[in-house]
Amino acid sequence: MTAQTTQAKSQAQIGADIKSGEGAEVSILDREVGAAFIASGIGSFVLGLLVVLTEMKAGKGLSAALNWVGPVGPLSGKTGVAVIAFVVGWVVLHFAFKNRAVTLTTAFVITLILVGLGVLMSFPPFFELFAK
Amino acid sequence: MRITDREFWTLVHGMGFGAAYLLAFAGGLAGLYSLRPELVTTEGITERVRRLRWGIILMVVLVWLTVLVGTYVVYPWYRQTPPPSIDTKTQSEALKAYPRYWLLASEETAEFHDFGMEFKEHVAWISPLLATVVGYAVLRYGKELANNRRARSMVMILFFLSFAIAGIAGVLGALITKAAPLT
Repeated sequence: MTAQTTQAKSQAQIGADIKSGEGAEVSILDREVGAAFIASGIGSFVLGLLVVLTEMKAGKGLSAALNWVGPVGPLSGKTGVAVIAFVVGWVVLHFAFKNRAVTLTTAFVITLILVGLGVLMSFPPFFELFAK
Repeated sequence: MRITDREFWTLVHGMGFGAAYLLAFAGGLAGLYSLRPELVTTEGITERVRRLRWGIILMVVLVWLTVLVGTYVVYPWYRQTPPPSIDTKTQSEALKAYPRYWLLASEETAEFHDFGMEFKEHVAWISPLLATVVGYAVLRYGKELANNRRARSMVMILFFLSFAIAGIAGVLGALITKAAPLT
């Protein structure tokens, strides 16, 4: 049995595929994993965004609001919100992708973009531009 | 040879959980890379997937422990505010107990905090997010990863990104600890 036949057979056994917005067939596994991928991107992006926002002069109130654990400071809230965004995003996308999903490749590209932005916004030379 | 509580927990964070995650990465990546029907028999794939599942779960736990211990145990000691009696503009012996302020007291060391810690404390949290979804993908795909080259490649890339980010945080942590050790 060839690898392609095996893959096609396992996909058929798992359940009906749905069409993505691009018209491609998306298996249940690809939908679920795609949702997880994007969720990690959402968490990363939210973390980076909070770093930038709290560095801005107008972000002092937000910084204080994110001081969830005193000894840790605003880092506790920034990371806490990021983890919440990751979990909530995962749950929402997991169910949303049951009826309509993007291909795994599209989900992966979205993930890379969001993670890249999250890393960029966490980079001091970048977020200090907003502090100035 | 005696170490303080702070030194112990710094070791647990960096050389314990963090280093274990970075070292285990090589095995995890090799396991994913070799999951190919042209390289391994069907029985071999079954055995490797079982090992990969347990290995990935362990690595996900390790990386989460690394960031949690780092943020909630070690970091508060690092950023602790010195009492008003200690001059925060001079790198005195008394100020050494307050690493963040000790680093910022001199232009020569300020970047260890302004760049090193400010980057590390945030970006490190992206590593467990990525590791978690890599673990999920391995658990859900299971043996299908052997035939699904596209998914396997994506999983390996995200796994490598998680490792790279953890590695950057680890290097910065080592440099910061060398410049201003927690004692």
